[in-house]
Amino acid sequence: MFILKILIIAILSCLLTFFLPWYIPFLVAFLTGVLLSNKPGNNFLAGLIGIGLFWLSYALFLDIKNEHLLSGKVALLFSESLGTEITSGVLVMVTTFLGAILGGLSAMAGAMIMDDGSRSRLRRAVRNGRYTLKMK
Amino acid sequence: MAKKITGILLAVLLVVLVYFLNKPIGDIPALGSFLSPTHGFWKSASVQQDKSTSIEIKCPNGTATVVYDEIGIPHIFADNEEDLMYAQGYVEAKDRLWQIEFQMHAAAGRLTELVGEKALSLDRFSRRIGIVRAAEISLKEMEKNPLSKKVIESFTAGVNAYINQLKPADYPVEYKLIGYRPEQWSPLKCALLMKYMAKDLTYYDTDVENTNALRIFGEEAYKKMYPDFPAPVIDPIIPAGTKWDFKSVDSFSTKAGNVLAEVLYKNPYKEFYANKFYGSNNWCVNGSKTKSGKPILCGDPHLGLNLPSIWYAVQLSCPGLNVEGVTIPGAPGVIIGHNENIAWSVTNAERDVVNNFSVEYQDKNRKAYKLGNEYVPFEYDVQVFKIRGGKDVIDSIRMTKVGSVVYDETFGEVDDQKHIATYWRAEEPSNDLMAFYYLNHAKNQEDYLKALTYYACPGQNFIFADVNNNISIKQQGNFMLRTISGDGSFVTPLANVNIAKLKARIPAEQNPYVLNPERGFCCSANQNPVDQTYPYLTNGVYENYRNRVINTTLTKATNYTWQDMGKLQNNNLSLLAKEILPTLLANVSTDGNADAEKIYKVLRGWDYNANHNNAAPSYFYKFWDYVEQTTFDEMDGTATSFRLPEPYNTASLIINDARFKLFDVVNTDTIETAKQVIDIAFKKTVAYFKELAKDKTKNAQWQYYKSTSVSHLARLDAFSIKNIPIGGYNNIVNAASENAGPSWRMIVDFAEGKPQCYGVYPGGQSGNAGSKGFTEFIDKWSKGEYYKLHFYDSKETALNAIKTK
Repeated sequence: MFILKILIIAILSCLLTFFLPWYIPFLVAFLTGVLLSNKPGNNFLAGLIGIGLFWLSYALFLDIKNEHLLSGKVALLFSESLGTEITSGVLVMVTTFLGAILGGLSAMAGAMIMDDGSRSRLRRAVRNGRYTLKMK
Repeated sequence: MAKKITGILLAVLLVVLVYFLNKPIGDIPALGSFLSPTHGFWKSASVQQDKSTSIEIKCPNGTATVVYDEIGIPHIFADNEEDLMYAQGYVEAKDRLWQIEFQMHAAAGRLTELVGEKALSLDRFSRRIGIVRAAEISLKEMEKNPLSKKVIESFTAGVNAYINQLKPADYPVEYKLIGYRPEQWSPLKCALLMKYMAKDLTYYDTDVENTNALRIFGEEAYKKMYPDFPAPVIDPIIPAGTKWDFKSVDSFSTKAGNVLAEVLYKNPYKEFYANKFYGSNNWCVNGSKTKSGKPILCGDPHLGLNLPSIWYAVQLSCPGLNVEGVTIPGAPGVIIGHNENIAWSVTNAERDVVNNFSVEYQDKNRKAYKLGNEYVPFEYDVQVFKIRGGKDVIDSIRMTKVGSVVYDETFGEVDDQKHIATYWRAEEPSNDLMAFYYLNHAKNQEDYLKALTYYACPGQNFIFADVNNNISIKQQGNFMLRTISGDGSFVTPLANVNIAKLKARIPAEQNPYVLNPERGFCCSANQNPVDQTYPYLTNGVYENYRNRVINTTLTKATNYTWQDMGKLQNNNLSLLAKEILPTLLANVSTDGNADAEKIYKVLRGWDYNANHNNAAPSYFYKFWDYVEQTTFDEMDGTATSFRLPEPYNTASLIINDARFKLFDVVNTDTIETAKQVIDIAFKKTVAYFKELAKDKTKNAQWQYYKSTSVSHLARLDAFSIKNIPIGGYNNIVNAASENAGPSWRMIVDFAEGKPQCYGVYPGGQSGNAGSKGFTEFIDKWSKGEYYKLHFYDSKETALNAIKTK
């Protein structure tokens, strides 16, 4: 399920983001939480990895194709205004981090909202023997 | 439940966070959208430049084919002119959208919408001098003529077709950095761009500085410093001695000319005026000078060195038209170039078409101004400025019958008697676009002359050559009819103005013109167009070195090829140094000082070529700067504006008039002459370079000392190229100075019977900062090399050519 969630987040984000605004991946991550998961921690990681991987690979893909030409200039631009040296690589990392952390938090928020307590009820039920898990 | 609430809070927090990441804050771009790989700058980098490929554009009447050659120059083929203009608009937007819009924002005084309050003074200046008013007048003229109306509307539709299909993710990176989106293009915006060029080429006004100089230094000194015709030699555009075969119209003075305003001025916004070093060279020779026996025409306009470049190369072809050359992105047609029969280029006329007047108010309310013997109430041009991150600002500009009051208590904050109203000839109606339209179509010399009848502002020297070995040059523009020396050169009382006389123009057919001169060549390099026999006053600020280098070379030229012309365009000879340095060196003493000896020796052995890898030009120009500063130390201080005399006039004074009163240094008890000035300047030069040698980051080589840079239009250093290894300077044929220079070098050779064009400019066809094509040509440009441009006779030839690549 965890791997599946990562794939769903990454692939759906990838498909939708080319028609919709830049923040649509985070909505996707949020909705996976709402619809598929009620495990905030687990979902956080899925969002983090799903969107982080998507942004990392796409930014790298574009940057390598562009031979780091524009990212080099943008890095220089940021270096000048921040007064500290920034490279294309740093930009890739910042981009990945931003996507990952927003993705993770969105996915977690979705899961938290959907956490209607069913998991704790379930755990109680299992403990009290009212419910037997069938292992497949 | 608590978890649920935390989740909701987190979601809300995330929405707020994303909201802020989607908004630029101050100068910081909207970081979220900017860094997003799918929408941000990464994505802008993915837009690849089209090279050796073709695209089809759906036009109103059919389909246009655009064949991009190996350096990204589009060759556009359409079935009719309407489609051709549409496709040109589309392609220019495709390759240069951000530049086109940004230049329009600058022209319209709308930079505050992009960068906020800090551009307000510049924007107010643009609107106060009347760029927008002039564009509106010009648009009316264009719309009156069905042909120009069609051209401009088709072009506009093409630009908009591109904009409308463009997804935000694919906007050029500058939109994302600043955080805005392209607007719809309009015919008015084309007009704004043309008037922006007029401002850049004519709004170098010196009335304020002249008035101060005349009042402070007196008439005798003034005439020596700023003569109408510099002695002993001028080498005008129309060869001296050419007979004027027309009867001049009744001449009269505006009367106001010699009554000076009673105050000393400081020009509060001189930095917004046109760059003095914008100028140009063009020349052409007929078959008597060339190896092939056919003409060669050359042109290199000197403008701001910017990225994206001011020029965009293009070939336009449809039944009845096949033309190639460069255009200013955002303008339809070709501005400088050639077709199958003719070639043409332009240089700036440098004539004075801006007149300043001091305003006399009726009373303290400043509601009416004196004109003649009566008081006339002002009208108002109310302009609204939208400020990014701030409230709108309203500027209520006082309008007189001659033009707007540019400087007043709200702008420039000058006191009452220094309020200045300005008359600018760019505000007179004209349909300049048609001049280029007809030049694009011209088949011969008559067509060229007919085309020029449409041309008014900014005044230009149109040089011409055709396949039939005709050469010609005409200075065309709407020029002021003045005859008394000084008329129009000073700030004079508005009350004295006779409006009919102010607006009178020299009949266009009496503008300086020559066809097939005996010497076998034509040339202009921003020098005085005529000698003293011309019946009208031609006051302006003229150059007097480049023209003489070119004319001397062309006079001697025989068996020239296009390569020889290339060498001439890249000629680094400093004629100023050649003429003045021996005199300077004869007057310096080194006193056995080792540093002084070294510099003296280098200058002594210099061949006067300002090559990039030599320190001699750095020594000379620093020395010359100090000579000027020390001579004109009377001009120091901030309360009054002056201008330095042209180097030619200062050099003449040093050689011929060493006791001229301004050589005296103000803060000494003794009386200095040129000799002492030179010695002081030399000692300062030695000290300067001694200091410079201590700084490990500095280098005395000309390339680094001069530092020619091609700068991004929004002044982003990271997107600019600095310290380009190129020689030359102001007053040198290769006019590459710090931030202005040969913005396009073109040679059109008729050797093969049909024109072959060689060209290069400091930039690249692509306006995308993330593309190699952005700066592709700079290297060849700095080395003085050229691209051999393709001029295809049909779509099929063009398509085949890219296939075989």
